[in-house]
Amino acid sequence: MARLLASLLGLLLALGTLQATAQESRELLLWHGYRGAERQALESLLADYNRLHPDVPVRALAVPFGSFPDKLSAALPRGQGPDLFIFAHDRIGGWSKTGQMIAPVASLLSPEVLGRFPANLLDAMTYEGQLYGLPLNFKSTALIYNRALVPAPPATVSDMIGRARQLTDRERGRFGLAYSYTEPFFHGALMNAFGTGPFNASGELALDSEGNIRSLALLEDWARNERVLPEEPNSTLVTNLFNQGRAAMVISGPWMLGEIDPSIDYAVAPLPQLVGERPLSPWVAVEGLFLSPWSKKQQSAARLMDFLTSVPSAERMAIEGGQLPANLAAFDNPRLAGDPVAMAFRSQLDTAVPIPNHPAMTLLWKPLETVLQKVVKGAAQPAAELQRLQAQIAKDVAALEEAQRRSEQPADWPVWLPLMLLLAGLAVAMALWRHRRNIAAGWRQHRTAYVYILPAALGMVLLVFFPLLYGLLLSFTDTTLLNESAPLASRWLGLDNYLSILGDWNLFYGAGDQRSINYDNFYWTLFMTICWTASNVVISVGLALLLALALNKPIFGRTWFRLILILPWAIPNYITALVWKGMFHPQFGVINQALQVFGFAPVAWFDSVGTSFFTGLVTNVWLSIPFMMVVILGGLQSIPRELYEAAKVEGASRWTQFRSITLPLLRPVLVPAVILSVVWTFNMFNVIYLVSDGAPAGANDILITKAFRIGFEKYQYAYAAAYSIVVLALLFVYALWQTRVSGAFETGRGAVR
Amino acid sequence: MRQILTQNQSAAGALESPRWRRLKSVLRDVFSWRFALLVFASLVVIYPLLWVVSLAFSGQQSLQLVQDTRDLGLWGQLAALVPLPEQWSLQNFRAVLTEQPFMRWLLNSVVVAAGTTVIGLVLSCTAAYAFSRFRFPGRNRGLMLFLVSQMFPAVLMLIPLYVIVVQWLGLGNSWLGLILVYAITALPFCVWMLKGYFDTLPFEIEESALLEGASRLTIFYRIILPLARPAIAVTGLFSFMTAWNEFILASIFMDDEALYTVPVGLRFFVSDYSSEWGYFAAGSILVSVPVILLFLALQRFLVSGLSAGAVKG
Amino acid sequence: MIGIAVASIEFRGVVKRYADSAPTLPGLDLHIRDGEFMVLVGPSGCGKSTTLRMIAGLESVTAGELWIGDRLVNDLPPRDRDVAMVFQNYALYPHMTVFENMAFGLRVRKQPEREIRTRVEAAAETLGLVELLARKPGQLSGGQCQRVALGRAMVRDPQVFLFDEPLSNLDAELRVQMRASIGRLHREFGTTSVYVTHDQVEAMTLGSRIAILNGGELMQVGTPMELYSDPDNVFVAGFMGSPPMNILPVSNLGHALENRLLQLPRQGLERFGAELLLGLRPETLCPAAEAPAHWVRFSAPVEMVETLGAEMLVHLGEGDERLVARLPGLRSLTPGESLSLAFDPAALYLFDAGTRQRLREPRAVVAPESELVTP
Repeated sequence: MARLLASLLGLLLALGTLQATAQESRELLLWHGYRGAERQALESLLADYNRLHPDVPVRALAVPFGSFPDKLSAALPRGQGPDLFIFAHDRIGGWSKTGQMIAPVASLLSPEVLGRFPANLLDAMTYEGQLYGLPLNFKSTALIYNRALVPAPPATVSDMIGRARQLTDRERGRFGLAYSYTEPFFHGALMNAFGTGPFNASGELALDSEGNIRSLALLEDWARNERVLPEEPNSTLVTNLFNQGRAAMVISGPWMLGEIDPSIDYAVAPLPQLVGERPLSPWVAVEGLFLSPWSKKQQSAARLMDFLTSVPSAERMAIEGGQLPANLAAFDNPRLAGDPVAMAFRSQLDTAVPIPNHPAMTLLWKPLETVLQKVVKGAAQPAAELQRLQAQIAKDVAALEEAQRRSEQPADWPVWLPLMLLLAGLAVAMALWRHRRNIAAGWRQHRTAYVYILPAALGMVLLVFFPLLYGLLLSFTDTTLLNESAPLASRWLGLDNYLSILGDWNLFYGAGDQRSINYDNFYWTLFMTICWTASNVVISVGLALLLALALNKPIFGRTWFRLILILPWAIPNYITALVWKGMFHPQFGVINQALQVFGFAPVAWFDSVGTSFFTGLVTNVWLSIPFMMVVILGGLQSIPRELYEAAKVEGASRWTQFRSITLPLLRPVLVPAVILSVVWTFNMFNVIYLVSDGAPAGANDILITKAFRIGFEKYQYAYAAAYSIVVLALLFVYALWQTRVSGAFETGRGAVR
Repeated sequence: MRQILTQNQSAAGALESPRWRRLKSVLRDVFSWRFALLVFASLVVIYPLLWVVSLAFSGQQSLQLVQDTRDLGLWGQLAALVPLPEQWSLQNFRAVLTEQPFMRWLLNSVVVAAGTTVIGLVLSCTAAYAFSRFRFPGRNRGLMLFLVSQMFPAVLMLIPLYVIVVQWLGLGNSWLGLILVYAITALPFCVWMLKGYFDTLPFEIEESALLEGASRLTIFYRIILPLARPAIAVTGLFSFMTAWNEFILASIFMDDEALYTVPVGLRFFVSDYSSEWGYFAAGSILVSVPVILLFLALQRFLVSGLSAGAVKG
Repeated sequence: MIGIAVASIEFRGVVKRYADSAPTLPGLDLHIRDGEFMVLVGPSGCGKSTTLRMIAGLESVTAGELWIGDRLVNDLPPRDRDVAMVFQNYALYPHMTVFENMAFGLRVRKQPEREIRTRVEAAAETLGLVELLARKPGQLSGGQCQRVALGRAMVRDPQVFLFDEPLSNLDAELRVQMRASIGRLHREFGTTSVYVTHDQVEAMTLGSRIAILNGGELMQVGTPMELYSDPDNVFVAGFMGSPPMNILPVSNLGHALENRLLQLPRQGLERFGAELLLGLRPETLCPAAEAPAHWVRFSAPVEMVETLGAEMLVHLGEGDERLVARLPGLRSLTPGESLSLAFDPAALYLFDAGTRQRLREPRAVVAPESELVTP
């Protein structure tokens, strides 16, 4: 047995190394996130390039959008990854601080190449005076309008709103204006018109500035007084409304054009003028070519950058790939110059503002979105809410900066640490030595058992416990996005993260009437997580048991029912979760529609804690029943029929049979399934993130989504790791308790030698 | 007298003909509470999926809105709640199959998922057998440690896993790396599940085989595994699904598009700016076909009440 | 392989202890001879199953030596011991047919398929299983399952047969039948057999010798008749025979035994302690009127009567002094009525009240003039 497994494992490893050694080539690796026409245009350009420069051919790798940032941040700091990659510019600040993600490029490129781009696009690629990449194309929003409803584009904002008011008929689901107004990227147009955006002229965080407050007040006016905007917008909804002729004007970008229904006669215009102020100035996202600091082929990479940003290349990317080229000379091409849509976006660029590439910008997106949602629902006053946000973000930024400052100072390990480690090691070694006979005897006596477990245990140690140890170590530091590469000693923090998580007793904020629950508080989130887990597991196990019992005995159409009932498991939950979210949409969702058909009032599902909780619950139960059902069905098969017959003969009722035969005999299968399902539900990221996304205002976040937000929206990796370890500890305590109570460890009888 | 008797018999025989009996049992089934429950549950399950299906077959990219039905009667309003595309089109499927090397990725996925299932089952069956049948120091702790692995959020495992698999083992850009990670991810569930099931199998069967001269391996292979088929089917399906739908690790480990698995391919259709939900839906349906086939194949084991009557008492 | 393979089994100071608890077997010495049918009997938890499973190799030996034939088998794995076992719950392989079940042991030992077929068919013939060979265990009745289990053990022609309460899941009639066929098989093949049961009737009818265990201690070993007529201690006396021997506390007056029911003059009591136990088989009691004159007489109130047809069991006495008499079932008795009984003073057994061991006295003749005195 052992020999067989060992040889199998050896074979696998050999196979793996064989595959891995076939690496290290002369190719220049380029990562991008394109698909469709953009990808084809890029690939045909690269094919041309490879024909011209066969010495260092380029190999392109398309990475799906959803995992591109993760792939970059996994590979690049470890010296892996591409030579060049194409990505949006707004993360430059953070990346340049880490020092291992991107390299300055100005010295590699001639002034002629740098002269191809307008100043604001080059600014977008520059952080602290260093140019970190070449702009390839830009994406900004503009006004897209249905010409059948709006003959000419409005020149001013009041024109636009006036027009929209006439065209809005909320009863019939028609709106004058639709856009994803709760997304900061879209709201940037208003912030930039009134002021300087989230940062003031000298680059300091100024969220509560006069301009920003006015921009929020204006949006609140549009949503709550003018009522020209649909509720809970997202890009799919906006596209849909526009395609059905139910939205006269939308604010969106070039990405939407491909999805507009051919029957809609539309046109694009720059966003209108705000009277007495600047025009609405949308944010522009610049896609750039970035160079890995690890690339050994910098010259070839520079040559490729030159090639891809040249006028002919830009023209092809624009014409074939539908991009808006950053090399503005390409717009002189007659094909582009004669395209009113492209030219409209081109002229929008004159007033557009690049998204700030300040590292703090990445901290802003989600909290600002929450603020926008609260304001348009009337749940918060713009000024007060922005002041609160300013304080919160300032704190987060300060935390990041503090961590970075600390890590820049060289630090030594505290003297006691290696000493402690040494002592601990010594103690372990001594214990091992003292009990060496017992250990050897134990091994001899139970060798068969250990051999059976060994392969699985090895895998677990390597792929589970090492990562766990890594997480544990991380949680004792103050690692953030910015100081990730600093030596561990200078990041060492001790127990501070845990103290600040567990010692967070700010259960409320505000006072008196204004007092409200602080949804960011650890204990609130813990409470929600427990509610979430308990309700989910109880309901889904109960329903699954019911269905499994119904399916266990022959019934007409059993095969079909069984097949249908496992479908939610078979279809990727990403899409079904989003379908559920769509079904719960307050204005356009089927559920509210059905409620209305039957004479009930529609429910604003995502506005209150309870209803929002309910949406997640329904989705998750729906998703987890099939699995539970299959498990229980398998378990029901192990119950001998005779027992039921015997019980029937003794006159036991169905209920008694269920309680005294089915449940006890199902226990060996049910107990592990329940324990695991508790663990999984506790850590069920997808459903919360996709359906309610913590709405309202993070109240429905569970610990795992909170940890994710801390790690990947606030970039405090260490704090997130500490959060995760707390989650682990909680679940561990639960599991200890549960296994003790349920005797899950018991075998049927004293086991064999 | 005799004639009457025989006539009566034949009349009764006609009433009790196999077809009539079958019809009767079907009718009895249809009017039972179990049937009602199953029909209701199936409807609840199918409804959201209908949205996916109709989106996939609509030829369009978004279909989230209910039509404006205020002018229709009750039936019209109810009918509008049933998601059906305005026109049926295979355009989305065609695009998914042609724009990307979909079939190739599907094949990759099959290889990875099958590899995961095999390795996962080998590792978990052996470990679960030991946990169920042997008593040894560290047994309870071991079982608990298997569970612990499920308690740590997966997002934070990403970087360390990358370090181990890609940097240390050099298994980046190979299916083996993915298979190992997936198999280990699915392992705790499989071990716990199988251990629970093995516990229900009587010891005497094994002891008997042991006395008859079978080695542990023979017993495991010829007695335990055949008896545990329902549980092995469930855990196998689970391992398969673990590998089948995962996309983040797959896209991070693979540096060659020819090695991508199909969920990675599907995620290309979803991005922050715009998402081709029609393609995604069509792709999702294509992706779930093999799973459904697999389940159909495994049904047989799930319903074979093998251990019924195995050991009485 | 055909032929009579026999082996003796010997326990030499065998100790069995499960982790961190008092030993299940503190030290067992037992010799089971070639071709013997040894029945291990005792109340549940007495260690009889553990003993059997140690012979099988399913339990390890903590200390001491266990020999099968001339081999020390302490560390020999079960498959090399050449023993076969029949389990209480049959332990058939549910996924195999009857034929495959019986053939399994031969197949794992790589016997030629033709040989397997002949042997399985022969065993099926003997046990009347021929029509069932293609069925699976789920389709068989309990008795059929047990016969398959028996057949499975037989086809391998082992040195030793082990039976772990094989009949306790069967109904009474089937039990008698199977008991008979097991007995017949043993007489036919003469294979050393060890049979565990808690049923003394099975033990008496099947065993060449019986070993009685209690709390891990071996109480007595002997042929059924030895155990019945010459028990070493109160436990064995109470265990064998149905209904069990009556045990009455008596005081030793030096020249007589006395309790509230009876007084019994007797010589040679000086060697014994003050408190004794008196054992009387229910079948040695008879109505006083029909007894020879020198028998000891006493009378006691009837408490309950169980009528069994030809005979009846009469429960008499009160408090500590209760006893059962097996009398011819001809009289009618009413509870409360006083009944005079007599017994042969030579047929009684004496035990020490403290150690509960048998007190053997030289066969003393009781004075014929001794009269029974009823208090």
